Amino acid sequence: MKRLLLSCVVLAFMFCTVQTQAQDRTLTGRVTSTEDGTGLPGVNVVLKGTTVGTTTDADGRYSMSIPASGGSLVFSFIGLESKEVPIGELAEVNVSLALDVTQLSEVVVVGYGVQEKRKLSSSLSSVAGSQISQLATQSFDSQLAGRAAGVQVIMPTGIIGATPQINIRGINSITSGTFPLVVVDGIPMTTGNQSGVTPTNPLSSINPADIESYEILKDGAATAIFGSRAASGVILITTKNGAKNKGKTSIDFSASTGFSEAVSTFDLLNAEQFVEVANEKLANAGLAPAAFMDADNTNTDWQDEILRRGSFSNYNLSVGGSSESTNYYFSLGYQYQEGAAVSNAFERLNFTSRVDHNINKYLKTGAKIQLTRSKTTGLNTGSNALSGNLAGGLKLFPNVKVKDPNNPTGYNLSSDGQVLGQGANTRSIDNNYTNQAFVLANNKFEAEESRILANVYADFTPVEFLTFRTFFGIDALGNKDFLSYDPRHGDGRGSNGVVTNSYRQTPLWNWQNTLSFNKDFADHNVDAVVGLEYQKQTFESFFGQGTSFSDLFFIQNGLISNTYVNQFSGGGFNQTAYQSFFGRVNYSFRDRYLLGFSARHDGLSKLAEDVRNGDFFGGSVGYIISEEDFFKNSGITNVMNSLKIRGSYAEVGNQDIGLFPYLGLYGSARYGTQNGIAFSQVGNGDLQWETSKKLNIGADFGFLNDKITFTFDYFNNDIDGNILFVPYPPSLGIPGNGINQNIGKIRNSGMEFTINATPVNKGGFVWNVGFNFTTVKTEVLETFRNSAGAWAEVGAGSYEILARVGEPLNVIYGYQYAGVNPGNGNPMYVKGDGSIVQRNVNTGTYSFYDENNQTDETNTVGAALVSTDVSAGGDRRILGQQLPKYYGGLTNSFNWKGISLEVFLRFSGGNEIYNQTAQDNLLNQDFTNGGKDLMKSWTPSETNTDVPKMWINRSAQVNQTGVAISRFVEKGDFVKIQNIVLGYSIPRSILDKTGNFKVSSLRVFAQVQNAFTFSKYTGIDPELGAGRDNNATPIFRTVTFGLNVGL
Amino acid sequence: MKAMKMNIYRSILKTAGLASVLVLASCQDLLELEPQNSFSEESAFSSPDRVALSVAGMYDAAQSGFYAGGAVRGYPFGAAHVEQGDNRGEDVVNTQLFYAVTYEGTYDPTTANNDFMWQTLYALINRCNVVLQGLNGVTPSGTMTQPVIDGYKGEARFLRALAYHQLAIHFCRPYSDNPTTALSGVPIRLTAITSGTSAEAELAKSRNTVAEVYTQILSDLDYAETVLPETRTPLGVQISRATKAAAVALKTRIYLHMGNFAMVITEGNKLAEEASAPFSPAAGYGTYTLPANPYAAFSSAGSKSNSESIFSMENDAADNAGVNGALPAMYSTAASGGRGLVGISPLLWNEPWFLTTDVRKSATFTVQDNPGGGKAAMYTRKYTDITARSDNAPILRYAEILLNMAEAIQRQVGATPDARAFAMYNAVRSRSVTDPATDNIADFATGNDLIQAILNERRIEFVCEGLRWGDISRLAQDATFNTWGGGVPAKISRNIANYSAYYTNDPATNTTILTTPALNHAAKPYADFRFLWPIPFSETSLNPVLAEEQNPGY
Repeated sequence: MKRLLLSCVVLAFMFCTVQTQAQDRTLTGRVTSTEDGTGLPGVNVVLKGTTVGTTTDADGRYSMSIPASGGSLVFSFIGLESKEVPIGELAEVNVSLALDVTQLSEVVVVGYGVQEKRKLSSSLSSVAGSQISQLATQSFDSQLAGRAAGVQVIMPTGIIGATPQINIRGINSITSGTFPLVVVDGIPMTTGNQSGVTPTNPLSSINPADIESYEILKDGAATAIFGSRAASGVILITTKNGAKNKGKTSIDFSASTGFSEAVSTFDLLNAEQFVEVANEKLANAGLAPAAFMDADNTNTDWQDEILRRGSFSNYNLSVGGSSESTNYYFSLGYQYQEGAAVSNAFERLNFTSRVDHNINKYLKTGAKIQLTRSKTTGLNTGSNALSGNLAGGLKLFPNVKVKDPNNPTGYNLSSDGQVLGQGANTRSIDNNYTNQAFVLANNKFEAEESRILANVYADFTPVEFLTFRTFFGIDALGNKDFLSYDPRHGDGRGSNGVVTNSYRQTPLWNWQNTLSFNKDFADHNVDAVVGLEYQKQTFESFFGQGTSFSDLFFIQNGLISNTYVNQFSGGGFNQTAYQSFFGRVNYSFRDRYLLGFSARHDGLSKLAEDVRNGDFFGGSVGYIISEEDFFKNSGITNVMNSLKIRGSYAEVGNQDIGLFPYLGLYGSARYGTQNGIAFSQVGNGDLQWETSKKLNIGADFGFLNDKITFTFDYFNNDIDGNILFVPYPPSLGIPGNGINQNIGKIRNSGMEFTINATPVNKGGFVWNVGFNFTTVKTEVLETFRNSAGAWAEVGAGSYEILARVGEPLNVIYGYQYAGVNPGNGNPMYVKGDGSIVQRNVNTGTYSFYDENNQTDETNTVGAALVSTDVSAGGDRRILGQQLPKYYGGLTNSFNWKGISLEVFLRFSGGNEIYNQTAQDNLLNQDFTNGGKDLMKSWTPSETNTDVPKMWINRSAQVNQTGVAISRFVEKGDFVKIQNIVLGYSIPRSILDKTGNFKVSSLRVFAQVQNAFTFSKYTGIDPELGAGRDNNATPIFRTVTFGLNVGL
Repeated sequence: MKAMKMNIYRSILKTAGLASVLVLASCQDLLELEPQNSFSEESAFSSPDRVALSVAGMYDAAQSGFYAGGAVRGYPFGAAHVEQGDNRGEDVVNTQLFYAVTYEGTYDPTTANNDFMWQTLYALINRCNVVLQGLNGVTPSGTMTQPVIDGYKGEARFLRALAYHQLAIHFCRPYSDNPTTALSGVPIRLTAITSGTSAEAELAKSRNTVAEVYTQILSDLDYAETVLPETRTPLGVQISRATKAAAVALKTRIYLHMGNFAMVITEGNKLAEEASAPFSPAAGYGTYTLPANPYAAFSSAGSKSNSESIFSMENDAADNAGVNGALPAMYSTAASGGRGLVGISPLLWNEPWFLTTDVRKSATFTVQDNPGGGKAAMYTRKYTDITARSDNAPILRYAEILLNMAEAIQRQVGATPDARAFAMYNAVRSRSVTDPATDNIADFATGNDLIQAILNERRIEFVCEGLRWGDISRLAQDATFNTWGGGVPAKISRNIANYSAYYTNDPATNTTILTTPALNHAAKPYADFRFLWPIPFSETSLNPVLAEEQNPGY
């Protein structure tokens, strides 16, 4: 597609005259593509230093008359690297031209159209589909991490199916939705988890192998045409079509397979260590030993039961081609992967069919249908759940067996089936933790998603510069859940078995009518589009549930009528709609002065009638200095060959604000068997969308004939009118204790740098480097006033504050730890006034610490920690920020004679992580297992430690559970070697010998994803939990081997 | 050339025409969407049926208020009033971490139990006020006559009274401790808050006095008594919705807390007018009796169909306090599939007046958990539907009225045991146990002996029904009958791995428990600030008035 466009450009500027000189002989040859060996039409072939030249024909062949000897030929083509070949006495010169990576994205997709990249005055990042298509990934979005400046992607758990957090230039709302708008071939996709039993990511329904390119719209000018949906940025996805295979059919097949395993695991106490530690917990409280090794000296690492080596396999087949009037693309994909967490798996089958057809020179039509079926298998990962895989699994006794042949279930359970069997221990496990092996083997969490993404369109082009398009698309997404809890043990025991089947669907239709105009008037070019868009989406769901089952047989695959005693059902229905007008004009003068303007008028069903319509405007200017003669004529072009500066400003909105946030509502309020309704939401008819004012100033540089390109952007997003659920004192008793109001202001500002370079391109060896770096500062400027007239905090919790004026979003908030009192092992804290207090590990009583009399705990008056802020005379303070201050990625790729190696690093830092897993789990004081760090606990003989004295059942006193303390705050900086990909393309010379069954390309590869992480963070992974690591399932490493075949 | 230009213009016009057709064809009503899962505010009282739904919705706030993260744990009256009321006392044992904060009295302004009790009680109060406001705007019609509307108002005011009393016993010193002390009560809110504007007016309000709170409660209940229906059908609804008798029954409890024994008797006479057993209500107050079988009001089915329950919160399989809140889940043994979190304390079990022959110790009423999963404590069997959790949560039953009356009469009479007081006491006790020490009035030397027996009987009869803390609180200032000097009682430790050794029926065991530090959680004197729950941080952080009026010590 791109090359086709480029050839048109080339043909348009083709040399009109061929000079006739004294000629001696005829030279012929063929120019082919390095990529696939096909002939390249339209390549300029010029005798160096002269105006003698020609262009290649449709098959890439050329023929020209040249002087008898000497000289060299220069082959050039936009988008490909130029090549100079000495002629000597040769009669035939064949060359192959490689893609010039620095010029790949000559044309980029923008909202409702395409635009020449050169003429962009807005800020967007493009990622080629090929960068992601071969990776072992469930969904493309998680692979965007580190690929583009300004785009932050955080994978907060290793559970397959979880949707990553994507922040384009910071978090763009305090409490409303912040996920970017994702538009696939023009249809705004439904995003976000659809399942009630295990996380699902609807973006996974798009096979990355079908994706041609990703465009990430970042600044106001690029996003303004999406109006009220643009505040968090827009990701445009363009899927493949058959147009690039001009006149032929190309068949591509790829297969890969491999395995995955946890990148790292926890250091838990082994059986003997557990016995020692548990008995010390008891002894410190004056209780007799209760932990004992059994006769077999059993030593179980429960992580072996909850983590595993998973598998991965992926197959894609696509057929694409085009004829004079029609192009087509069909593909079939299948993926199956098992996560490193036991029970977690994903399976996907998808099918795409796309046809575009020119009826005549005025009319063109096309349709695309993409079908996906996927199944995600999950598990209980609740961070506080008794049967949560890590929350419970890490606490299970290591000195007991997993299985018990004498138990009817085959697993080691207590005699009543309630908890893990206690083995030789004389005390049952505290807090009723269950046998994870049983739970994982017998409870089922399944989500099956069906999706149809389809569109049809018709283009009417009465004159070549004007096109009217009507486009209709649907996104029919449905999700079926199945949840089954075994009645014998775990979550289903209390209900004697639970089965839930549920279905949710969110069908969306979207109708767009656009009129596009593109025409040159002498030095002026006008590129414009105006349009109308209508969209409606329905959200409906229902569920059926049974409890108390007659037989285990009936809980395996779905609800079976009359096999259960209690039956429940429920559901819901809602709709939302948009009605919009929009337009964009891009004007350029002499290809160097650029002006862009776009506007959108959005009407939203989500808001009250008199305020539901809004207008959003954006504008941009650009100046390509390097097009000026003074620039071209200066010596600087030897170093810097291109320079563009640009700036933009726009106001866009965020309408991810719920369905009817403005209405006073009465919702269902059932009382036992009696139906009821009750006041459920306080209305606010003035409610509006949130407004994001985006400013961008940037520059693009090309050095050494674009061997090095450099892009810089400064951005500043002011987000006004955040919709906050302004809290009211609970004693007023209003629903939810709050009212939605447009209030609050935040600012995201920062800088982006992108460098692409080819340090080496010699003798067939090519080394490309791509580097991007982003700094972002998210600052809370205003919230609402509390009743004392001061700025109130939003989302103040026990561990963090979401928004406090003057601070970044998401700061960790709690007490300052002061280590362990060497005299008695009590934990100590710094109060707001700087004094040090200790907390008795048994009674929880606070007393002032006296360095000269360490064991004195009598000075208790006023010692207790006060939960208010230090500034208000209390003892809590900000302990860190969870959002990274900078992040980026670095790609190094090496190619030599078909061998390619790509090493992709990404990094992030400047943030802190709250290690709640350590606080709640690894260092717990209950009669349960924990981490090895417990062995560093204070004892009368080991007083030099920062781990307080142990005391049975005193986690709150010892570790201050339930609130943040600086003891568990750690630096979040990391560098990850994200991917290492090693590939080998079989040379054409060998492939050419495949005869009639002609293989045009064959590549084999091996790759490692999540290869290595370098971080000082003591937990499993610094990204888990996105700032608060609370029993999140470890990220896994995937190793795959694969091949691509092109026919 | 000219023709070509004309063609172009014609084409443009055609395109524009086509475009405008598409615009005009657009769905004019596309944006006119209404919520489908909820009513709009305006229409909630628009028909008799919707009014009835709104009234039932008040009970929902009483039965299944919210908890942290949107969960339902039976706050305030679907289960939590029982669990919190019991765990603040010494008659149950909290065997796990779950109720440790309440049990050990380690609450602070951020702990969830006091926070959500406060929040859900006030949510209930506002829901009642909103319904009262809505009812004021309703014009009587054929099916919805003025008496029907007034009856609905009576339900609202009954629930509001119940909520204020729960607030009073947890967040305030008892009535007996200077009820007119400034700021000793909780803020009284009586107007509907449905918008930011209506919220502002209430924000300035200080705490009222305890006396004012009780006055308000009585005003609500006096009104409720006049307008509530005497009976409802079916019986299940009579138990789960307020009636005349429920208003009166609650008044006997309120007056008892106030130490106004004369009024306990005045009100109580409406429900038990006889001088001797069998007792029954006066005309117009329903047909309640004390069934011969003390278990009649229990089990999932029994709790919904018996002659003793005057008012209970209805739970059913679909709408209950959930596995982390429902009484059958929390109070049943691990062995039977419950969570085994709250058992009957050995301290009560071993009291000499809790005889081994008492039916309430029998296998009908109690069961011991297995060691292993559980900790081998004794558990109640009052709540039985462990899997579906449909047991109603008791609030007022006839036995309480009799014991309220018995105590009030005896306290009024003074030194000599009173025959009617004894008869009422004995009606409750004798259906469960034959006891040579208490079977006859002659067994009581003094009036105080009888009062003590009545108070003991309350502990046995209402164990695991949440009334214990109310009694500890109201008796705290009673020099004769307080326990532990009027403070928070000592309790058996929740850290014991196996309780079976402590159920001995031998009072000496209690002495051992209470004198061995490792086996108990120490008592706290009445003066200790933890006798009261703190006003939660969720309130004080947003309400500067109440932030200044926090209970001392927090």
